[in-house]
Parts: sequence; C-alpha cells; structure tokens
Amino acid sequence: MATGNDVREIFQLKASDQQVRRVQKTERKPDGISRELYGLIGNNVSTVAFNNPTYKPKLNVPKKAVNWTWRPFVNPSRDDDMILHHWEKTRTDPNEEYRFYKFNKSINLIGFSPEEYASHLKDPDWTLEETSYLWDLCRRFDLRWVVIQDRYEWPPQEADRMALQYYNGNNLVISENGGADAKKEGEDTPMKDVTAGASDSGESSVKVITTSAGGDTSAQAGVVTTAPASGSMPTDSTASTSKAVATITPAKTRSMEDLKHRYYAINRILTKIRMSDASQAVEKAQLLSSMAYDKTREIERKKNLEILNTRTPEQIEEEEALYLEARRIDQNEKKITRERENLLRLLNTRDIYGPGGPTSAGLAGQVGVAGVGGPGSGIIIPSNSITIPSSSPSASGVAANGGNANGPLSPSVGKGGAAAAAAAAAAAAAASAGAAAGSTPKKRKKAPKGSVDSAPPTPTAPTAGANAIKGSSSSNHRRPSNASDGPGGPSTASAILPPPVVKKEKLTPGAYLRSQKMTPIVSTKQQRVQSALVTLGLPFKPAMPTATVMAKWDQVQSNIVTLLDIKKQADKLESDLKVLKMRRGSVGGGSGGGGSSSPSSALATGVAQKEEEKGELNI
Amino acid sequence: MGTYGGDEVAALVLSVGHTWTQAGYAGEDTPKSIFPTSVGWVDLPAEADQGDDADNSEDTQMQDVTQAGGAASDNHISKKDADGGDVPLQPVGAGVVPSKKKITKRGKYYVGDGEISCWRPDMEIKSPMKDGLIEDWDALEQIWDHAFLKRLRCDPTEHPLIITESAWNTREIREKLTELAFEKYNFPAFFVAKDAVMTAFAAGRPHALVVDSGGDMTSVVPVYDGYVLRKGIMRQALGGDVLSDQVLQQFKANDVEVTPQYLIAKKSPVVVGQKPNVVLRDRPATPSFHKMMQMRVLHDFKESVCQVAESTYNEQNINTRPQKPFELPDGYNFNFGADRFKVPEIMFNPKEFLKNPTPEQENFVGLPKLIFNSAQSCDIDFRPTLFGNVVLTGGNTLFPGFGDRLHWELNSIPHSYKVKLHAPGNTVERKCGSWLGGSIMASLGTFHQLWISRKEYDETGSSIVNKKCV
Repeated sequence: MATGNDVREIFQLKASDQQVRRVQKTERKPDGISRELYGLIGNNVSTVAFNNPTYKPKLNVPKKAVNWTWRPFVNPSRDDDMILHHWEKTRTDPNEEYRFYKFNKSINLIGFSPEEYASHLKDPDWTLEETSYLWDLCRRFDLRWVVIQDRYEWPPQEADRMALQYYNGNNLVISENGGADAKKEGEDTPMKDVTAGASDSGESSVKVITTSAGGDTSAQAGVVTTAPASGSMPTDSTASTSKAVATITPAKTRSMEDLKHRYYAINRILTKIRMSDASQAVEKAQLLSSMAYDKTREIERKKNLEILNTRTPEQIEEEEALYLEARRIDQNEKKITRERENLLRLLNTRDIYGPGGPTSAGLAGQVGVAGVGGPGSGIIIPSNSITIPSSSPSASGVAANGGNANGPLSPSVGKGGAAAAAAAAAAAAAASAGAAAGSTPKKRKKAPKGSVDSAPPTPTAPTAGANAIKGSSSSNHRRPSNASDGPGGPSTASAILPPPVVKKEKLTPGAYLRSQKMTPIVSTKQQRVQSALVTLGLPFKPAMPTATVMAKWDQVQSNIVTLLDIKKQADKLESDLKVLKMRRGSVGGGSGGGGSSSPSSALATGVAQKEEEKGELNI
Repeated sequence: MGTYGGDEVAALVLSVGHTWTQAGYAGEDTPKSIFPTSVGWVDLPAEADQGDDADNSEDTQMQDVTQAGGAASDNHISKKDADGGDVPLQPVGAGVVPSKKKITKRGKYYVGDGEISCWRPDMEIKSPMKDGLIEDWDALEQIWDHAFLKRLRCDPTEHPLIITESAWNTREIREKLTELAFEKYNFPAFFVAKDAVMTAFAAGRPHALVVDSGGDMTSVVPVYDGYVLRKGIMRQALGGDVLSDQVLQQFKANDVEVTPQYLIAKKSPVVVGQKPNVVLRDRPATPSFHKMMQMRVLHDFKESVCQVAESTYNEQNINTRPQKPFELPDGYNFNFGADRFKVPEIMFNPKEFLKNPTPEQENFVGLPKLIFNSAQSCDIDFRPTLFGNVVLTGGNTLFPGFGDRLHWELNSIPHSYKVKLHAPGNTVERKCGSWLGGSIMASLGTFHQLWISRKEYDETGSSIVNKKCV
C-alpha cells in the first residue's frame, strides 16, 4: 500500500518528520502475546496492575533439621519386655532408660504376717482372709477408699480374687500360696460372673455345666482359689457347687467407715509394735496421730452431712429466717439496753423541774419494775420523790428478787420524801454499790454517762445505778437470780436519792430568738406529743409565751415525752409479761415457787400502776 | 515433648457404640473413620454355595457362621475361610469350648455407611450391640475387619489396640474381645477401657459423673480417679431411638406416612400440610432395612427441628416460640411448633411425654432424677465433686438447649451442692467423647505400662483382661 512517503519519493520531495512518529507507532509486538490481545492492550497503559506475587519468605533456620528415627523401646515399668515403637531423635541414646519410668510409683503399705495377725490384730468381726482381702484392695487401688468401698465384696468373686492376686503378685504375705496357684492355673479357669450375668442367667448356668464337664484343671483351679475363703464360706469338692453356694450366700459389703477403721487400727497397732525403739518416739507419735481414726465420729459426721444436704428449700428458708430473727434479737438487745439507759437519763433530767406527784411515783415504780424484770438488776431511780421504806408489802418482791449482789434493789414506792432517811439510805447504798463497783471495775467507765448531772456528794451511787442497769442488760435477764446473799442485805440499802440537779442554762452567744429557748422535741416524737397536748386540751403553742408560761410549757412537754417513753416501755413489759405467763403456764404450777413467780407479780403491779397512769391521760 | 507427657506408639483406637463405630489413630483429635455399627446381612441360597465362593469380591464377605441358639457364650470367633487372606489365622485358643450344634448359614455381610444404606431386596440390618453389650460376634468381627482393613487400611500386627467398652460390660465379653484381638488380628498389645472413664478423660477430669445419652440407652456413671464406681451406675433404655420412634408415632397419629428416600422415584412440591404428590418405586425391602431408613429420616427431623425448653416445659411459652418447617423425603412439609419441644422433653419427663409406653418404658425416670440417684449412691464426701463435674456426652444430648435445661433441672432438685456441667460445644467432641479419651490416653507415655502384651496373653490367657483392665 502506498503511503505518503512513497508519494514524496516519487515526487522527490523531502521526507517529512512524520517518520519518527511512525516508528513509535510500529513498535514490535512482543512474542508470546497474541495479536488480538496486543491490539487490546498494545501501547496503552494496562488497567490491570501486574504485581509479582510475593510468597512467604522461606523459613530461614540456621540449624539443620533434626533426624528422627522409628525405634523400639522397652518400658521397665512392665513385668514383661514388651517392645513398642516410637519416634525418637536419632541423636538420643537408644539405651537410655524409658522417660516415663520415673512416674511409675506405688504406695507403701505396711504388711503383716499371719503370726502378727494371730498375736495382735485379731478382731471378732474380721477373719485373716478378709483382712488380707482388704489389704489387697488397698494396694490395688492405692488407698482410694471410694473405689475400695465400691469394689468390696466378701467373699469375693473368684475372678475378682484372682485378679487381685495377679495384680499384687507375690508381695502379699498371707495368700501367697493361693496367689501362686491361681497364677499357675488361672489360665484356663473359667471366669464366671454370676451376678453380672443377671441379664442372661440362662447363659451362666450353661457355663457352669460346661465347666464341670469340661476339664479337671478348671475344677481344680476353682477349688484351689476358693480354699482361702474356707473360713467364712463352705467349700465343696466341685467348682460348680461351690460356685452355686457363692451365688446363694449374699455377698457381704462393709461401709467405708468399717474399712477405714480396720485399716487404721491395724496400722496403729503395727506401728506400735514395730517402732518400739525409744529413739523413734517422736516419729512414732507423729505417725500414730496421722493414723488416728474415730469411726463413730465419722459416722456421725456423715449422718449430719446427709441431713444438711437433704434439707428442702422450705427448711433452708426457715433456717435462714430463724437466723435473721436471732440476729435481730441480738441487735435489739443492745438497742433496748440503750433505750433503758436513755430513759433513765431522761428521768434524771426530768427531776429538775420539781417534785413529781403521784405520776412520778408511778413512774418510779414502773422503772423499778423494769429493773425487777431482770435478775440482779436493781435499777436505781434517782428521784427526789421516792423513798424506800422497805415495808412489808414490797418485802416479798424484794426478797424474791433478792440477793442482788450487783446492786441495791429498786424501790417500792413511798410517798413523801423524807430527806434524812433518803440520805441515810443513799449512804448505805453507796457502800454496797461501792463494793459492787469494785467487783466490776470495767463498768465504772460507763457510770459517768448515766450520771452526768449528778452532784458529787454520792458519786458512787450513780455508778451503782449504772451497774445495775448493766446487770439488767446482761444476757441472762428475766431469770430469777439465785438468792445467794439472802434477802436481808439489799433491802436495807434499797434506794439512792441523788440531790436535785439544777439545769444549767445555756448561754447562746449573740442575738437569739426566744423560741430557741424552748426545749426541742425529737421530730419523731413530735406528732405524738402534739396529740397528747390535744387530749389535754392545750394548744400546740402557748398563746402568751411569757417566761413563766414557757417554763411550765417546757415542763409539760418534757413530761409528755417521758410519759410516752414510759408507755412504750410499759407496752414492752406487758408483752414480756404475757410471754412469761405463757411460759409459766407451759411449765406448770409445780415450779411456781417464790423465785419464779414473784418477778411476774412485781411486773403485774408495775403494769397496773402504768395502767392507772394511762387512765389519767387517756392515751 | 516431655512437657505434655505424650509418647506416640501408633496405637489404634476403636470405639464401637450402639449406633456409630469410631476408629482412628491415638493422638489425633478426631476419629479417622466413623461409620454405622449396623451391618447388612443377605442370606444366600444354600445351592449357590460353590459358585459364590469363587467370585468372592473384596467388598462382600463370605462367612461360615456359627449359630448356637443365640447364646453368646457358646459361639466364639467364627472360622474365616475364603477371604482371610491378609489376616493370618490363629488356631482357636485351647480354653474355648467348641460348640456342638452347628448350623451352617451362607450369606453376605455389608458394612459401612454406603453399603448398608444401599437398597438390596433381602438385606437385613442388624446391630451387634444390645444394651451396650456385644451380642452378635460375627457382625462385630465384620465391623473390626471393616475398620482396620478397609478404613484404616493398616496392618494390625504393627499397632497396639485400645478399645472402649460400656461400664457394665461382662467378663465373658471382655475375654472374647481379648481373644479376638490376639488370636485373629494378632495385635501386639491390647487394652480395654471403660467408655465413661475415657469420656471423663477427654473432658480432663479424673473425677466425673458421666452422663451418656446415646442411641439405645442413657447411662450415668460415676468415675473416681479413673475408676468406675460400679454401685453408682444408673442406666435405662431411653435413648435417641425411643425418641425417633415417638416422632414416628406422632406422624402416624397425624396420618402422615414417613417414606424413606430409597422408595421415592419422583415428587413435586406441595403446599404446607397437604398430601404429598409422589411416585414411588417398587422396591420391596426387609422390615429392618425399611425401619433403618425411616430412622434416618426421623434422625434428620430431630436434628433440624427439635429443641429442649430451657426451663420447665410450659405450653404457653412454647407456643410463642417460632415454628420450624420440615419436609419429608416425599415432599410433605409442615411447620412444627409445640411438637418439636415435646419430643426431647421425654428425656426429662418420660412419665408425661412418652406416648404408649411399653411396660418396661413405664418405669423410666427423668434424666435429672437418674443423675441424682447415681450421685446419691456414692459416698457423701464424694458427692460435691460429682456434682461439680457432670460431663455430658452422646449424640442424644445435642438437642439445642439440652445442657441448659439439665443444669436448670439439677439445680431445682433440693440439695446444697454446686452443679457444674461440662458439655463440649463441639459436636464431634460430644459424639466421640469416649474415642477421644482413648486417643489421649493411648498416646501418653505413662500409659504404656498398662497394655496387655502378646506375651502376657500367651502366659495367662484371655482372663488377663479382667486383671489388667479394671
């Protein structure tokens, strides 16, 4: 085909510079690519990126590969020289001892000879054969008691016995002969598993027949191996009959405790016999203590464990509830004690407002009763209005509660304070209380709390009071105390009357509202105080708050608070009384002696007094 | 190598269960070969004897079968003729009494999944196992042959063999197995291990309460430090087959025929719940074959549809669960709701959910009760350990939710133990638990002292197995 160049040549024109481009265009197609493909991709830049695949770099280990050889080896743990093969590094020594030989360990069981058995180890419940059977099992199962107990069956099935003897080899002292025989003849001895053949009993009976018909050797083997069991099992001349006997006699099993007991007992005896040397005394004692086994305790333990594990969910729930209840009571006890202390403190403060009328007398009696409720618990009522003529009506109660070594008895109520008598009584009380305090020095610490505002003249009295309170909170309260001191002593010094305490007026710095001087009432009690005020026909706030009115007002309010507290106390006591009554009812009249009955009677009087008071206020 | 204590001696591990046989090499994590334990058997007419002997192929085997009235004790290893080529025959041991009456039967055995699921007019299907015990020794030999020669294709004289057995296996059977291994196959060493112990071993637990729910049976076996506690073995014949049977009954009650695949020539899709539109093949088969094929369909049904309620069975709750569709081979399909929960519920509450029970089945108890009873029969000090190591194994436990439910049930029985359930999530591990344990154990260096060697067998006889394998 003629091109532009040919034309130019013909016309002898100069060749154009197009030539250069043309050369570029006619780049030779590389070999190996078809024309069509080259036409497609040609000079163009290919859209597909050609990346040479990057292979994972070859593992470059400087060491040469280790050679391994398939090699026979003998395991020295085995009795026979069985040869197995395994792969081993070629460079290791082929004659090296088998690597796992060192793991072949067995336990050391203290053996015994028949002579030793005869002289030391006899037990009416065990025979020599059975004991040695137990020893076989112990050795076979390395003292895994769970397994031993599971497999224990006396007399053992023939096959079991032989298996054991085979395993234990000749190191067993007692049944050496039997074991050897079994080993010799065991080859042809039929294994009859009579109990295991429960599903195919027909088959086993067939088997017995074939055995007896079969050969003399097997029959002999049967006799030989059953011979050691002759002590407890009748042997017969033919294997089949002895087998039959074995099936009829129920196999005896023993509990794990039995087995362990026997094992440890024998071990203890053997240790004692064999370690008679004095130099080994310490070691011996250690060994013996490690072998201690208390069978009855173990049985008891397992029984209890069983009970523990078979509780129904309801029982567990109930137990938990009871536990919670017990804890609550425990905690409440502290709380009650604290409340009582508070109450007493309250009574202390109340008294600054002057003489209590019959109400306060009732109060005192009430508190006294609270004290009487506990043993050895005289509660001292530091109240002006109360004196203690240990008169005959209260004497019974005092006597009944008597013997309060810890403190003077609480008072019965007397009206009209005779100061002198009170002082004398206080002195006496101080004496006895001092003794009491001396006997319980720890409690002294508490005393000041209870007597913050008490005056110095009778410092021991509040201490005694605190003591008494403590006594009331002691764990064994509500039980009549044992009248060890006799009734006389305490009744003489039965009350302490601290002198009236003057409340110090707080001086608030700076300006203040007069209402701040009002004694604040605890917010929880406010509601009830107000309702009490309503019943008394009083307004919540005094209409004319003069100083005198406010003083009275304060007094009324604090009286109400005290009253409410006491009412609470009374309610508690009432319920206590109910419980006591119920208890007395259940105990019966027989035990209703002076000691047990009088606290409740005293309580009753207290409650009665309380009720009087209630009646007054209609709360 | 020393750190993990392994020492491979190229041992073979064989585990013949009721449904599946697993065979492989020790030290591997999965059996090389898993095939059904059931074998096919075709009677051959007596006159065809001579001709058949000649053209005996490799796949089918010709046998002189000793039949002795069904008594397993009397028929021992049968003599092999014809094709015993690559297996050197040993004279039968002196201790074995030859049976007197002998009925010679000619027939062909078919072993392996492909062989037995292939339709043949007169092929009977039978399993050598019953109640976890070996009943049909000829069939068992076929299975061993198939496993070692066809599947693993190894020379038995070169490898030690470890097999698993049920915890309640009898002495006679173990002795026969030993005889079989040494006399017929010439293994250099042999060991029999309890499957429960092996399962515990595979789970890495020396103490365990092994709950094995398989095809024909559910068993609970306490294991203490590698020893089975015989007094605690609890078992009942409530397994996957019973469940399949129940499904079949359910279908029948709804007037649905379960037609296995081998009968179907042509089918076309139908609407949900409608009668199938199917053309059947004319393939007369034995009832046992038909049953097996039906069971496969039902097995498929159980696998793809059934589920266990996580806590108690609550009909209202169940009805809110999504339904699952399932299509039978003939095209019939349906959405299954509550029914799919009812089937596995039998395992937990057989009294209520097992329909038309046989007298034997009426005494079945729920699995939790079975477990509890088993633990109760052990020493009280050992019980907390047992409850803390409950190991779940067997194909029948693979229903979704089975483990959760069992855990829930075990906790709701009053006791004060802490229950810990070990159920491997891996399906293979759950199905082949005992094989796996055998595989681990036989590759341990410390195990090699326990083998029964050829020499020991020659010295003591087959009773050695009862002495060495406890």
